[in-house]
Amino acid sequence: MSVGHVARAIEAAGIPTVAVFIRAFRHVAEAMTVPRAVITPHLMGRTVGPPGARHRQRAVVGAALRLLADAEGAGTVVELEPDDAA
Amino acid sequence: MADEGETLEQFRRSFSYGARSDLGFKFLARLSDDDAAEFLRQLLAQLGDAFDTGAYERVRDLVCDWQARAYVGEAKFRYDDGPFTPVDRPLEELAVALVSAGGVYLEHDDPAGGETQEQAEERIQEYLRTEPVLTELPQETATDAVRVRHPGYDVRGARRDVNAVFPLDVLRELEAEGVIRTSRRHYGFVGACSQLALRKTSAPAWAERLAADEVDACLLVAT
Repeated sequence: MSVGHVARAIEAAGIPTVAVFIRAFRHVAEAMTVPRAVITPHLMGRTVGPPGARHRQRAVVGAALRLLADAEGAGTVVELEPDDAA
Repeated sequence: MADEGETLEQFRRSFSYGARSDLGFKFLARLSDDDAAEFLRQLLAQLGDAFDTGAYERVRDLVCDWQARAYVGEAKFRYDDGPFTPVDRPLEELAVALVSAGGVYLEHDDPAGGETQEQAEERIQEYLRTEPVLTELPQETATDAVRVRHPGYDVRGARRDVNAVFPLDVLRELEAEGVIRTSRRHYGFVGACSQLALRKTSAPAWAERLAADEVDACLLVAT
């Protein structure tokens, strides 16, 4: 919820944003029409990936950057499968 | 620890800021008794398998599934549309800033003056009524100097590797490879805060700060 408000405010100020949420909060990102959201299949508190799992963390950040460049309108959501991020 | 005759409901709720508080499992409080019993059955079955197979990631994935199931519901804030700013340059020209809601900060810029994780959890209700504070972390910050404290989630993973909620090392790797540039400052706050104060006051003010810091794009991480 918090990140939804912050992403919307930053985007409204003219700075493009992409936000990463865990699956448990997908409905929040969608309801708030967050500009761009990547949904990860991770535990709460490990949004970007498990500790030490640099390969997966890079995959998530990479997916977020691609969405940043490719999204064509507000409310674009991409959900990563465990294998996508592995 | 448990009172005689403790009900399953009391047991479930004890993990959420109660006698057995464990923020990794506070979602038990949100499940029905039947669902909690089914979750525990599946958890033990998966654990039993993992002892033989070593496939502990399946145990983790099971917890992840039930966590998602526990939080499904109506969102408090709903907007039919939203602001959108297209990216007008190649990624490699963008100075990207991180903004993490995971409660990251540096020791000399501690927004809660040395409060412990346990003390923060005890003050969760106060956090939820209070306007959040934005912390700043310079681009060159060593990630082992980043502190994590948050009253709303299990911080053990982020304390083991802060990239789990604040992927600064990842961003710097991408900068070294020429994929992006990184902003000279990154930011953190505690997402468990007054949502009204955040929406009306903090978020617009923070957006101005990022613009003044010449941030070109922003990667936010929710917890």
